[in-house]
Amino acid sequence: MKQQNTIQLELKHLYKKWPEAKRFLKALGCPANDAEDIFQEALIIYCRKKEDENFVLTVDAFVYVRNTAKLLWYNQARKQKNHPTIDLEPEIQQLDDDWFQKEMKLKTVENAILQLGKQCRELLELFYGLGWNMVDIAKKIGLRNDKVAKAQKYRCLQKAKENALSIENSTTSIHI
Amino acid sequence: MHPELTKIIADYLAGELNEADRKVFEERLKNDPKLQEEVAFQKTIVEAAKRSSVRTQVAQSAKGFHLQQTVKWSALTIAGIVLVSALTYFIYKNSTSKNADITQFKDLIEQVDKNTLISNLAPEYFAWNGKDTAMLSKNGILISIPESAFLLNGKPYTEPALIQFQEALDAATIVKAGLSTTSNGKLLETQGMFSFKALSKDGELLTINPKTGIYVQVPVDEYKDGMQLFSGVPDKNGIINWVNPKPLAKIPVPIDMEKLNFYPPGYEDSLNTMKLSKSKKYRDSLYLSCEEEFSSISQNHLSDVPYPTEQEQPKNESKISPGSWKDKINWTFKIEKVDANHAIIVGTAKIKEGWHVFSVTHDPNKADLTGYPTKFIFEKSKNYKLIGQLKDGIKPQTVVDELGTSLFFEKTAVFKQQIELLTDNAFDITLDYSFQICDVNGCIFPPHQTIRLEINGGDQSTDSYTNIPPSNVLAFWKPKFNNTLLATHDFEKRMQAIHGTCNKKVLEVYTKNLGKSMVELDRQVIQMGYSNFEEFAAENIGALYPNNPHIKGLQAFYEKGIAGLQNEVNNYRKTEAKRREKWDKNVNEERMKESNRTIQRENQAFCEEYNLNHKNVRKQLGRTLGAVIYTNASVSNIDRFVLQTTLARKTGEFYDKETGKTARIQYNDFSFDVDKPEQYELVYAYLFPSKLNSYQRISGNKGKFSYALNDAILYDLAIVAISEKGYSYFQKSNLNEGNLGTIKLERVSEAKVNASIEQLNSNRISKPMRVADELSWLKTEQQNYVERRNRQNAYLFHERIKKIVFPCYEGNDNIVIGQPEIFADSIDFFQ
Repeated sequence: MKQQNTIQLELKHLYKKWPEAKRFLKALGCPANDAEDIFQEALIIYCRKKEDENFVLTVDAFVYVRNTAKLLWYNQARKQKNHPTIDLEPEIQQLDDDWFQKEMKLKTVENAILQLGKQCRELLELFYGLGWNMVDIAKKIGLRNDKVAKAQKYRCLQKAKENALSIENSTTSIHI
Repeated sequence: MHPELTKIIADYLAGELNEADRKVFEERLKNDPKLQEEVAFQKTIVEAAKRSSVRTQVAQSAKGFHLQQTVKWSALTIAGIVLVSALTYFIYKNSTSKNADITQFKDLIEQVDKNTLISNLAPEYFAWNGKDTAMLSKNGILISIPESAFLLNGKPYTEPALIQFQEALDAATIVKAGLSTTSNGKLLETQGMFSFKALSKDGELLTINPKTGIYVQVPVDEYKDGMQLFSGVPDKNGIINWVNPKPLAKIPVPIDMEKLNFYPPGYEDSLNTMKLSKSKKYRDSLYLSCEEEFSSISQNHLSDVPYPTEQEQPKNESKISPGSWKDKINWTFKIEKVDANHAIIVGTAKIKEGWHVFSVTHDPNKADLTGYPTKFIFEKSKNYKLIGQLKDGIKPQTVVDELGTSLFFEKTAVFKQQIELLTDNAFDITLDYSFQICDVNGCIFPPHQTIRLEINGGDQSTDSYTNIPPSNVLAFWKPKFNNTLLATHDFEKRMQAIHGTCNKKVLEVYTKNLGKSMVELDRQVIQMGYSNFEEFAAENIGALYPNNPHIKGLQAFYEKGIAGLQNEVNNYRKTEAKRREKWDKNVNEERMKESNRTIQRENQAFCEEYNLNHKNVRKQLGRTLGAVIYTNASVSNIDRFVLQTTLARKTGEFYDKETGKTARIQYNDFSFDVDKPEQYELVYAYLFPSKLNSYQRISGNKGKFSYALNDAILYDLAIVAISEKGYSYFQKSNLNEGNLGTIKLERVSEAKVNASIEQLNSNRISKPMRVADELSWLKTEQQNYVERRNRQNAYLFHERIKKIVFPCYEGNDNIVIGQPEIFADSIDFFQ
């Protein structure tokens, strides 16, 4: 739990620089509406990358986040095309990085979790994301005991899987 | 995806299965690909849950941050703008290699690091290499410093410089740095402040060259109207008072070229009204087709006139034989247009070595009555008037000798007379010029010479009709120019006005200065005399990505693009001109053949009819060729009668004294009208005589046809009419006289006409004259009519489009627009 606090502190610290990131993104032609989403996405990527043992941070964390945001924005701009960006720099090749690609796919699957009810989502996040035990989780989300919480966990997982499949199907059908 | 399975996998992944169960599960997993897939899937879900958890944390930190911000801002009760210290402006470090190496300033940075314009705010440093450079600060402020931006002690400074830059764009930083936001005691709403200081290598303070300035672009969340740039003046306590506000430039927003419209105003609407294709490709090419021809845009307007011919006899007798002056002086004249309404007539004389001609200012009274000043005498005209007097075009030599003062030219003399043109039409100027040439031995006084000069019409002069060449528009209307000043709604708006100026140079102001700010360019256009651009300048729109290294490349690309498009037009026109030439040549050849054929046919027809009539007459007179020997006189009388009657196509009788018999050649009136002749371009009636090999072609007058038919022959009639749409036809057999009344023609195919005529032609006699050539010519004429019609339509269409595309174009009224004169030259052959 100590580790979680560290991350939260760091996030808090990084978020203070959001205005700076915003100006940066705007200078790259990113509309204000999209900028914060992109920044948050970059923060998520940073946190997740940090969990990777092989990951070595060579620059200031904020610089890393800012560059990630830039890549995300370029990526998005490239897809949308209607937001012309300043000359795309060669760093964009980082976007083709395997890990990054997987992460982007995972972002789609993540919707299966986000579509869950509040309780389910919180349960799964606490259990898998923060590594809480079932007893604490039950207390936190107001379930009678850990057994009930565990049974609920299975149901939530099941539901998430169903969501994921329907997301996948709907995207497939769009492609057809 | 059974719930039980989800549960087991979940336990397995969480390491919560007991040893035995785990082994069984793993065993199954090894051999069951479906199960493997399911496990992988569930792992992904778990991973997604972890990710979602991170998202929640990020969202929480966002919430925390925004809450704090709200508190801070409300406490401050100000929002913000940009403030600048008087000395300095600003920058960001761009990691590109073109920026100078900062390490060269390492020592200097240490010295000046404490000495910042805003205390309590860490500065950022940039090295400037003396060239056009753009830098980006940590917080995204873009600073562009042009080459001549700095002055050192009032002189341009081009060495590398160190830029010390500070920025406080958010409230937290502003407060921490203890910056004030007041202007003479009043609170300002701020969107940020920055300081900018430039130092030479030796640490001397550089000032910004007011002529060039530097360009600073500050990102803001929201563009607030009325935001201004204030300069900061610290008071003795170090508290900055913000004064001297200046309007800020708005940064244009780049838009995709595909979404912009640079056509002349009304072009698209007019095309829509005309129901023309909406495809951009079509509209581009139609627009481009209005491009002026190169040949009409001539750079100079000289009308060189050849050496004049002598038109008058000598008025003055000279001791030296007249005429011999011509090898001593050679005059040429030309007209130089100054503007649409003014021109200068320039007469240049090349003088033989040793001879001289007198200046217009030469005064014989001051030279003992010697020497005759050169004179131009202009014929009076309402087309122009003289401005001032004839002047020397170059400085004459002044020679003072025992006779007095003489002003003259050796080798070359130039005389100029300015005129004002009073009409736009072309006209001639006739002038007499008189002069005296002298050498050491004496003078020759040639007779007055007359020269006629041609002045071009006003439409060819420099300042009259001009336009915005479509090529110059289409050449930048390409994705390649995305992210330039041109790819903005702001420029789109200006382009509409640019079309209205009809001045290519206005467009060039923008296309040739992609790196400059819009407002600067607007002002340039205002200075060119287009005050309607004031409205644009008032918008105060700045530059877009100045110093973008691509801009120079784009300039070349643009020029090339224009040339390419013009080439395209020219090639098209050349091809079309060639095609037309070939077409016309072919038509003319056909017509030549036709006229030869017609002469031949008419000859033959006459001969045949003459012979027939002759035979008839002899028959009637009971004379048979070869049976009786005639006197020459009577034969010639018969011949003459037949000849005259056949030529006149009028009934006639001949009394033969020798036989006492009377012979008669009878011609019957024959006529008909063609219904609605005006709908046809050409109507021909063909008569195929039953007893002759040849045939007759008659043409009517406004649809009325009449002819005299030989009573001895039965005729088949075919009427062929040509129109744009094709052929109309009528036929009737065994005619010999009478009025057929009004005949309605029937639309038929070309093949049908050909077949019918061929049949009529061949039915009548064993060896008819060929009619195929005639039919092929008719076809050519029909097609030619369509061609002319197309050409005329194309011309009219283009005139119409050009009037839309070029607001200043008044149309070419000199070209008579009417029915194409297609057959004028062929009709004469048979009327």
